[in-house]
Amino acid sequence: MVAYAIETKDITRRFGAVCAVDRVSLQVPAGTIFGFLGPNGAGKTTTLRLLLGLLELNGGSATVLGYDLATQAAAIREHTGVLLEHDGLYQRLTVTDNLEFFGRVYHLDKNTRQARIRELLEHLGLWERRNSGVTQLSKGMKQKVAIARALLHRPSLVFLDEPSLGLDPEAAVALRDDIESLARKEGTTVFLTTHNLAEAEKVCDRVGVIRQGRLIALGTPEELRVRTGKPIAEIYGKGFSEAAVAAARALPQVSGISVHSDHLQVELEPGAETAPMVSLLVREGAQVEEVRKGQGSLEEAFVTLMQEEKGKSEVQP
Amino acid sequence: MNDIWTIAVKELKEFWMARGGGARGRLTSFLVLFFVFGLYWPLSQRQAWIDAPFLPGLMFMILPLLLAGGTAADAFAGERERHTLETLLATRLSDRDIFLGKVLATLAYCQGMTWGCALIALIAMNASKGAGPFYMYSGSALVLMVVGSTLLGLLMTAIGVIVSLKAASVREAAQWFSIATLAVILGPVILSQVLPASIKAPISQALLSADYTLVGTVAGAVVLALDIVLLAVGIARFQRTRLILE
Repeated sequence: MVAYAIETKDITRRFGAVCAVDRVSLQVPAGTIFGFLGPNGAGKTTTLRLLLGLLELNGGSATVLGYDLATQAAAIREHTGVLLEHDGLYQRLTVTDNLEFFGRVYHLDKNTRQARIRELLEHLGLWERRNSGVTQLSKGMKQKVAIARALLHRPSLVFLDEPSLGLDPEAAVALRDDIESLARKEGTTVFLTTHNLAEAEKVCDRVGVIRQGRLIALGTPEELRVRTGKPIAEIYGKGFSEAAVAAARALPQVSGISVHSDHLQVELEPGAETAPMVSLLVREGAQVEEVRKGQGSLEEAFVTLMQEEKGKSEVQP
Repeated sequence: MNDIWTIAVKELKEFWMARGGGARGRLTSFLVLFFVFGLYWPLSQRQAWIDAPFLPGLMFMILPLLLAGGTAADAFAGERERHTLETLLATRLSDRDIFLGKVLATLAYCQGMTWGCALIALIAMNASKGAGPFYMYSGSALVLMVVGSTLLGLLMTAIGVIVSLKAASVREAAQWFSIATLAVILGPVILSQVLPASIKAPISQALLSADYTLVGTVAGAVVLALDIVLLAVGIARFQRTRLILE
């Protein structure tokens, strides 16, 4: 077994004058869930297509599951499963027909195929719908069937491109839980592209952030939060008058305050103490009941990263 | 071969399910074809079939020209239109196997329908013969039905699948395929009109006095060569790294 399911070195892909993927180097340890984050058009899907050998590299090199991307793309596809931008299910066929077809594609014998289809559909709560036409399923169910298809042949690596896109929040959470439990249970490496940062924060062991084709950050969600997110204090209580909020906002250690119905969310400068601010609020008549201090979310870290990069690109000629 | 067969079976299943209206509706759509080409066609031309023994062979040879369009146009343009192509390309299947699987499915449908209609026609001719002798296709008709229709079916299938590779939608593929079909059917007719008399006359003379077995064999060899060339072009044209960008 390889230590890294994916290793890329300066991979590059251009479409005419546009550099969709610009010298991206990353390593994805085997058995982990890796989140590839970025805004629309950042190069996530192009990177994924490159790693599957569906597009040719213009530069750089990569190995996927130990296979060389330039010369062994077929072997890579043999050992990977995918859920791409579209679910890729044959609408005219039933759920079982779809999975049967892909089982045959991966040369699973009849008994293995049937047992595996049953195992996955039962796990995903779709066994009762096995004979339904794909058109009769909801969007969330289709995504689950596509997940089952991706995992059918027990691949070592699964590529998921925005799996929760277009799902309602409940379905998105259910799908996320299914992906995580199946991946952990089967020891599969997952390469997940998403711009749902809450999803990435919950399931990913490591994340990479891409913007305009360039990888701008790589690490665990926690590392990214610490590196780029400012500390946050949430102050619960009553009597947060406008004067009290204005006085707190004027403190040098405070970089921003947002007022909520029952609490204040205060963005602090790195290393700032909360005690002086709490004392000030009390002096201004607020009744403070609880103070929670922590790092900002991955979403806040992501926004900070994007702003920093935007600033850099504006400064550069 | 296993992978080609897997693709072909999936294609045929999809083609069957595409005809809506449940199992009865799907069956009805096939029964209409069997009625027209298996019953109406032979019974309305009974005497001509008896007088010219090669005629049923010629007629059933034309059937794949009419049938190949629907399935061939859907082969890749349909996958592209329904957003299943990229997932198929991301599997372990080779480019060649995907292409040949699509070709096999279309050919199997065309030949299955053609031979099914020919069998029904044979039964109908005998069921309605009255006191006349047992009717059986002549050797030349059988050769045309089996070999001729397969070669011509493969030609139309290869054209259709190549058109489908390039087309953005099934409708566009079907339109291009119709033009190609017209070219195959009308091409020889138009050519005979535009050729100068000095060339036409010796050809006509040669055809009138020719050994038809030889003419058929040469025509078959030409179509076979075209089949091989078109299949090679299709396989060369099918590259997933190109297809993904179209």
